[in-house]
Amino acid sequence: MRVPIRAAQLRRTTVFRLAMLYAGLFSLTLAAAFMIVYWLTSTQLQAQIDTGLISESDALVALYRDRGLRALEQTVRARSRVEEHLVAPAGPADPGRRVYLLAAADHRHVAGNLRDWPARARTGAPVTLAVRDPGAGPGSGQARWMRARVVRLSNGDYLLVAQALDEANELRGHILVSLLVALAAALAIGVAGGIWMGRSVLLRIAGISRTAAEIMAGDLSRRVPLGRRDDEFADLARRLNAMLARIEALMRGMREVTDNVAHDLRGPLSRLRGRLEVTLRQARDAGDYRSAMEQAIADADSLLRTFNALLSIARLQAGVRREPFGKLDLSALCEGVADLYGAVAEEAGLELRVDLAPGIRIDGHAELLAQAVSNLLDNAIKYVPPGGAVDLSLRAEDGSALLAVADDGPGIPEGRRADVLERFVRLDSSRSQPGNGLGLSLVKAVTEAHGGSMRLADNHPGLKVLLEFPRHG
Amino acid sequence: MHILLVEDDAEAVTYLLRGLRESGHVAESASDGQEARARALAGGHDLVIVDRMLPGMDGLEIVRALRGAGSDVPVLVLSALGEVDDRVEGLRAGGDDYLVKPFSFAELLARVEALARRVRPDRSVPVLAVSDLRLDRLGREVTRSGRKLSLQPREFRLLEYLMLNAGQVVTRTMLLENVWGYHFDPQTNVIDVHISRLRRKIDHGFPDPLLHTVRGAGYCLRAP
Repeated sequence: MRVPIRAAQLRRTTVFRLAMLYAGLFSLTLAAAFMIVYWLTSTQLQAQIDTGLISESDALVALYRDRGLRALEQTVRARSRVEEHLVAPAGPADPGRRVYLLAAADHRHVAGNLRDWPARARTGAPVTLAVRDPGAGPGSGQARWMRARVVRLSNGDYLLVAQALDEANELRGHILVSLLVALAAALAIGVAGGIWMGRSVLLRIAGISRTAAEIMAGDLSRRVPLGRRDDEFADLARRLNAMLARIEALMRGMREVTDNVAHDLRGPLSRLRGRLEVTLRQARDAGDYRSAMEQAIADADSLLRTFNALLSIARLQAGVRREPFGKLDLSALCEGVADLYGAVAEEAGLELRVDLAPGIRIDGHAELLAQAVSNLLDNAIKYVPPGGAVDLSLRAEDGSALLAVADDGPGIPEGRRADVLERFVRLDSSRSQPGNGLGLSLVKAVTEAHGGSMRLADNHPGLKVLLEFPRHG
Repeated sequence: MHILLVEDDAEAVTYLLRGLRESGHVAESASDGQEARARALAGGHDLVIVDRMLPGMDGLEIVRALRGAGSDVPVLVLSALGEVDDRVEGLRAGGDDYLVKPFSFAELLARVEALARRVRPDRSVPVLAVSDLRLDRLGREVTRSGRKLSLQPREFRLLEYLMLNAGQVVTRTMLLENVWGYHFDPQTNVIDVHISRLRRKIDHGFPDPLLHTVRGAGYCLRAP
């Protein structure tokens, strides 16, 4: 599905704004550099012209000094002619043409291709003047910008040598145009790049927003597409997906709790209510009432126990922990629980064999772990027929602590092992044994809250429950 | 015994007061946190039962106020917060015992009576005796009618606790908490098994049983 990207959306993206900012800054810098280049070039051009004018006029002055006014007049005329011949009659005026004017002390024309003395011409350093072009051809007779040098001869006459600036101006124009073109290109590339980057970011983000919208609409199974490239967006998508998976699991857990509470509490509650109601229907003797009430209390107790177990599991699975776990000696803890259950096993005609490697420490919650081990032993003792044996063992393996409770009872068929970890699943549908079917679920929740994992295996014969905890130190 | 019950649930107050009074105690109640604190601090009670969830107040504030004022009246904290950390917090605040709702009245009564005994100075007695049963706490020896009984270490601690609370009802939860140090609810009644084994050792072959089962409540060790 293609998402149309609106201009306003694009303008809001950080990457687009950054690209614009950088394009702007870059253009400014470029413009400054271009202005310096332009200024240096025009100064250089003018200096070159001035040098030419100075050496030309100095040469003419030297000629006058050595060979007199007549030689100067001839040379000026000859140079003027040469300049006139440089121009094709119909061609464009030579942009670099020189003009000469030898004038009397009152600025009257003596020789040279310039007729009239330019009003603002002064002796000294070259100046820029507007000079009426004396030549033939296009542009002649018009005022043109020229650099001019005026020298006063020793007899009081003036010599003016000037050069049209058209060539320099043209060159400067070329430079200016190319600089402006480069600037425009840089700006355009910057803007285009910004739009392109902004768009590509928007496209990646669009996948995330679309998934978010779908999830908000109620489909918790949606996941953010990862995209082809393995970049920071893929990282973000993976993290978001992990978060979504966790949220989905929690939501599913919540739903299961509600379903299970509804299912497993509603039954006993209606039984309790029904028994009390039937008892009240007829007058009975005190003994009957007493036994009915005792039965009701027993029912209520079993309901509360189920309810508490459900709450504990839900809390553990929600992963809300108020205080961090501390270091504890798992070996000693198992020993304590084994001590509690040894007698129970013996009374049930079973042998409880305990094999604990000493001093195995993990980060954990003593009370929860004790309850988990107790549930495992309780479970094993409940299901193994008299004469059997239950093994509690603990050993260290690499970075983990392996706790196992194995029995030689009926075991659990392989296909149903996953089921018993679900809440309320009891394989003896006859419900011959007391319990609420939450024992193993609680063990699993405790194990997972400790960062461990729980596995059910075949003990050939019997069931073997393996808990693996990350070990401390 | 004069008991102050601090609880805001009116129906719970009704049945708890009735139960406590029928068990021979003088009981009064306070439902408002401020008022309860003032009455607790005024003194004159042998025991204070405090619910943690009071409107606008954590009952533990009352316990802290009591301890801050130097009172050592036994305090039983009631709470719907059953996490171990909550229990630790309750005991740290100065509570002497912590009972998680829902609880049975028998459990509450047994704990109330055990707390009342706690102030009696019999904790350091070296030899405990009930009828002809003697328990030497230093020599770790148990005899009945002069005959030496051989007890496992855990059985010794179980009997010691029962004898310290002789004549009182001791619930299974109290035993699990005080003898084994666990606060969870084992699915089957492991305590019953331990009690019946202990009973075999101390009562078997003697005419008068000392260790009695109290129906719906727990156990009681008492002289015949």
